[in-house]
Amino acid sequence: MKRLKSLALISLMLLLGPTAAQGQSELDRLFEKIKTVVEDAEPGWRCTRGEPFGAPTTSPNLLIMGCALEAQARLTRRATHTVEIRHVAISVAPLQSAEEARRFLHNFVNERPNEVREIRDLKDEAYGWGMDNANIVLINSRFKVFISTVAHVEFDADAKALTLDQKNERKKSERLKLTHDFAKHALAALDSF
Amino acid sequence: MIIPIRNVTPQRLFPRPRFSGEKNSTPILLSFLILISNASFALAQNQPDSGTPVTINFDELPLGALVTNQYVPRVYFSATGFRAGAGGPNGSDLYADTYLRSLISDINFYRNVYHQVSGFSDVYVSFTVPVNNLSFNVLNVCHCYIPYGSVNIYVYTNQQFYGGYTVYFQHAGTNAITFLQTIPNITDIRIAYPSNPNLSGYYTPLYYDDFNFTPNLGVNITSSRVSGSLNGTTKSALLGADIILNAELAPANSFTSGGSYAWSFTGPYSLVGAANSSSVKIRSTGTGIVTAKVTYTKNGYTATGQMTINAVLPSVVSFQATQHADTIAGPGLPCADSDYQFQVGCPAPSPPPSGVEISARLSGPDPMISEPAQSGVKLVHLSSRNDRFMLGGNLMCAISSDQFPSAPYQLESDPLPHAFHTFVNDVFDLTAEIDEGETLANENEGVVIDEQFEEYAVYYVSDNGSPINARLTVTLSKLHWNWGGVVGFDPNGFWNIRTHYGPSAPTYFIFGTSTDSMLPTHGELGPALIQCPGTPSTNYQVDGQRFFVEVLYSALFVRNPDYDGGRYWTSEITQCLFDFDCIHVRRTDIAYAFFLSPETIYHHPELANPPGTPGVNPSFDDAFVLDCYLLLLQRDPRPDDLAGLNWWKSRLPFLGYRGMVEEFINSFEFHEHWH
Repeated sequence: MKRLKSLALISLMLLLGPTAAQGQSELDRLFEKIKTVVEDAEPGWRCTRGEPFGAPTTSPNLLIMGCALEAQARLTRRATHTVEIRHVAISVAPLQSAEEARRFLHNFVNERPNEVREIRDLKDEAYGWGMDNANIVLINSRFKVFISTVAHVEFDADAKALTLDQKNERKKSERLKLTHDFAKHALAALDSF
Repeated sequence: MIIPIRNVTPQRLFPRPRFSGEKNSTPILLSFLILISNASFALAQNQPDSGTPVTINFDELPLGALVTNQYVPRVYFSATGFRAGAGGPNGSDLYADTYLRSLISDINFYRNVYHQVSGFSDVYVSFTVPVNNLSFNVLNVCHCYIPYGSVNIYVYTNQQFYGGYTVYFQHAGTNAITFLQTIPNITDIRIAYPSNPNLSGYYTPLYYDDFNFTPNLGVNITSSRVSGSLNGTTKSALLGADIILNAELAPANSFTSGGSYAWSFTGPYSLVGAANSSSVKIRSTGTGIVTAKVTYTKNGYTATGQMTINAVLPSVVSFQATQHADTIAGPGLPCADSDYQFQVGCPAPSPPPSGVEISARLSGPDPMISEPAQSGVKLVHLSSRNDRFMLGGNLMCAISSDQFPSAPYQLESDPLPHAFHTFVNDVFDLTAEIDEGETLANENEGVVIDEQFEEYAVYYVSDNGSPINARLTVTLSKLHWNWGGVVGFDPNGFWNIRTHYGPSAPTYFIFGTSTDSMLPTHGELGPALIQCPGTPSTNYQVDGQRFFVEVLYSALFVRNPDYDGGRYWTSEITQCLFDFDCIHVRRTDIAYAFFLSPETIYHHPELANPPGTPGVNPSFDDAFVLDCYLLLLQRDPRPDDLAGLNWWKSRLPFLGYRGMVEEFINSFEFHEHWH
């Protein structure tokens, strides 16, 4: 299915002409850049590229990617398998200009003024939003970036010893930390892009 | 009439090769050996303390046979001043009979040992093993004077002087010498001072014949495992274990040293080592009768001992298991555990009853002459698993072996069995407890456990008593039982046993059945789970129902699930068990329900007042689609993905709100984002 979609995208790119092709080429390079930065900085992590949920006839100029840390988890009394225990989802959309990016961010913040938290150490502008403000939306030049983290702490080695509250607390701290770390990685990649 | 001679000086009567250092009182020993037939020495089944009666009858010798020394060393016959055949047709040649009589046709008479009557020439008879029941005949007692003649007989037992006796003949012709029968272990006799004068006063020759005796030579088969002689007995031994038999000679004195041994066996056996010494080691190779025979040979005499060994398997006195009722264990449940488990009984740390309790009582023969420490019984466990797990949106099937997926049964107790014991005692008990259970892990959404078990009581034999690398194994009995059931995570928010594959009774007894075979197994029990054939597979944890619900809480309620709420909504989906269509519908229903919930509207007022409600929100549809992006994909499609946003807005009239949610939660991006 994935292959079919890829073929469809390629066909679409050929039909849409050089502009779309240039966009895809930029997303390709962007993915490789972020992937390299992350995998160099975070041993054991592996990044893969996803596909945006768009209209069937168009492909958004949007990079969907995820980076994951895996571990062995016990499924049954005898069986184990490899699972992702941490997953950071990153979407990057190159906009027309930095001004358009700023406009977007301000709109986003203004729509939910009580549900966002400004993060000052992530240029150009960054806000935490969503649960625990652990999701980050930021802009860097003309790039609009969403980053969020899933922490499957149930598969942590010491998970059995944790209460539900402790698990939730760890999820929160992991999400806050990893999202912030990966935001820095994304910014580093965009700065050198 | 027999009168003991009291004044005879004890002495060795005559030299024999093994006593060559001894001095003899007689100046010349002239030995002649008498041909006797082999039949005369035929031996029957030996008693432990005696040999077969022997008769030496010189009548069987061919007339005129030349006597040579081929009879040594059975019996030495010798005489002093012996004049064989003086005046006879053959001169001084040594014949069995050389004394010419008028009644030549009486060949029996002529072939008797002849002693030239001289009044002082002695005849010596020396036995190379002690003999009992000695008797012989004195022939040709003259019918002349009364009283008749006499002869002195000196008796030695165990090479020591025993006594001297004067025998007065009671009548003419043949006189039987029988008083020696009461004297055991005679090794030598000396027949001396014959007196047999005729009417003219000349001595008439005496003849000696028909020596009857029983060699006191016996051999007993013994075993350190039991006391006494095993000759003529039947003793039991466990199959395949070493049986050490010893040959003990009787009587145990200096005469029984030396000699040779030969063991022979019939029946199912194998020999371990040599069979030509006083001790032998064998093993039975099958159940049934093994006869053991030892032949001891010395100085031409042969003694045998024979016994019977009954090679058997241990008896299974009892073999049964108690299977307790299926239980859901877990935190806070009566059957406490740190994890949620579907299991048999309620194993530790919870109080009894526990899982499957197996007990066996084995009995070996008593007494047994095999080495008990080499024989044991072990309990071996086999499993056949047909389990299915709904795990994170995948239906996984358990296979018993990674290497042999189609193998029905696998060893679950290898290399060490569940329990084992050697036959230190003839009766012992084996017990084992099997705590069958399956973790109801975080990702488990529905479980089918269908496991067949066979527990075998297996007899084994090994050099050191260890069940590992046994040289022989024989299956004795087996238990068979089935365990499992369908367990669902149901809408009450708890695991529930829906169906029992095993018995649901609180306690169920399983009894052993005799068998001599074990189901084939391949390799070790594997931990493998494979995708059940024909079912969809996913690597996304959001396809698992718990995480899916957690995502809905996180995305729409902006919080973690509360304990009860998370379990409730999860169980609303997992009650579908393995029905993928049901799961798909439930996921969509619940995701849509989350969109409509007051808690979502609290966080997203734009989702309040949908069409059809009072005070309808005219921009509800736009807000709904945008929130599908924002909440489910966690991104704002504006301004870079307006095409997509508008597309899905255009699709809303056709899909409906539920259909729109269905599209988003089944999208690739949704899975990629939440993974």
